[in-house]
Amino acid sequence: MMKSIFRILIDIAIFICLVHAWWYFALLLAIIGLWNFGLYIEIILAGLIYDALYGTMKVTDIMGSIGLVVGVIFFVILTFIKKLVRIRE
Amino acid sequence: MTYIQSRNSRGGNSFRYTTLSVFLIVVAVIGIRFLLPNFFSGFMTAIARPFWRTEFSIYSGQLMSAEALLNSKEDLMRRLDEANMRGATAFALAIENTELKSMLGRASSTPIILAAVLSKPPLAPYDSLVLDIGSENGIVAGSMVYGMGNVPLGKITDVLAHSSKVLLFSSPGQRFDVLVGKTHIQAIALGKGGGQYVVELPRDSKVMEGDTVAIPSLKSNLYGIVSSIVSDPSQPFEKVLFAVPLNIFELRWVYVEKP
Repeated sequence: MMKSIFRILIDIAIFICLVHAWWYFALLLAIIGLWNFGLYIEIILAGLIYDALYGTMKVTDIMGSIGLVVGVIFFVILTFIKKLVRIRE
Repeated sequence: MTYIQSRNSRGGNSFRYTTLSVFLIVVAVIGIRFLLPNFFSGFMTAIARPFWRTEFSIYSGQLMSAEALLNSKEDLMRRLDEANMRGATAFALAIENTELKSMLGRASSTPIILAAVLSKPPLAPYDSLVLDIGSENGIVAGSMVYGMGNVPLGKITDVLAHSSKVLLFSSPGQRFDVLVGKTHIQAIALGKGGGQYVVELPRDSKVMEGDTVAIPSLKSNLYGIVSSIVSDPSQPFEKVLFAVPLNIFELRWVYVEKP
């Protein structure tokens, strides 16, 4: 229960950071969430929201999807590291 | 026989499912962005817009006390009077300039519209601004955006109903023609982000710090001011760094050209 509340609080904090364009705090919070919770797809959604709010390029250009790409990379890498260093989720 | 329970298969499956779900999400997102390019942008901007408006109102002083507002107003009135005195000469010259262009059939009749800057990401990969005007105000993609003093800042790239996004000329990788210095040397400027640019010139170009940079057009708008020159005696070229003459991160208002 506490873990769910903590997760929701982190999600809200990430959203506030994204609205204010403080992507560095949002990324830090997302990494904390990714490390502490299982299947933390919020990091990918956060990247998507960042692209939607501030990205000016179209989908055909990778420059318009930096948030999404960074979110997916962090998600995959940290999930892999978690799998390596933890006995079980 | 006794076997040690393998965790690998379970962990492997979990990892496979995770990877598959991420892949599906990414494919879905790309698909939606292909079919409905403004869907995510419009939806998220509609959610964020009230927060941006509230923040803009707070910074504009709407929550200040009446006394503080009156003091601020008096101070601003005094500054406005001073600015009017200084601007009278410039205004007369501008009128003369317009009249001369009109006589030569080159007068600009492009209307402009004032827009509030709702958001400007600091230290961001996207060197962009979000404005509070959109297609309902007659803005279209490609419209030029100017700062105070008619400094060209960027172009509108995405237009929503009540907001629009501006890609700044200083965005990393953006290239465009400029005229540098007193002798108007034509060169290609490269955006470095945050209102900063770099241009390469021959070492004997005699460009100095403080020289102006303009865009090659009839309007001859001031584009930037040379802030630094990096020269290496072993290289035939020198790097001239220049910046827009206003602080991008303190922008509150901009002008947008209407088509």
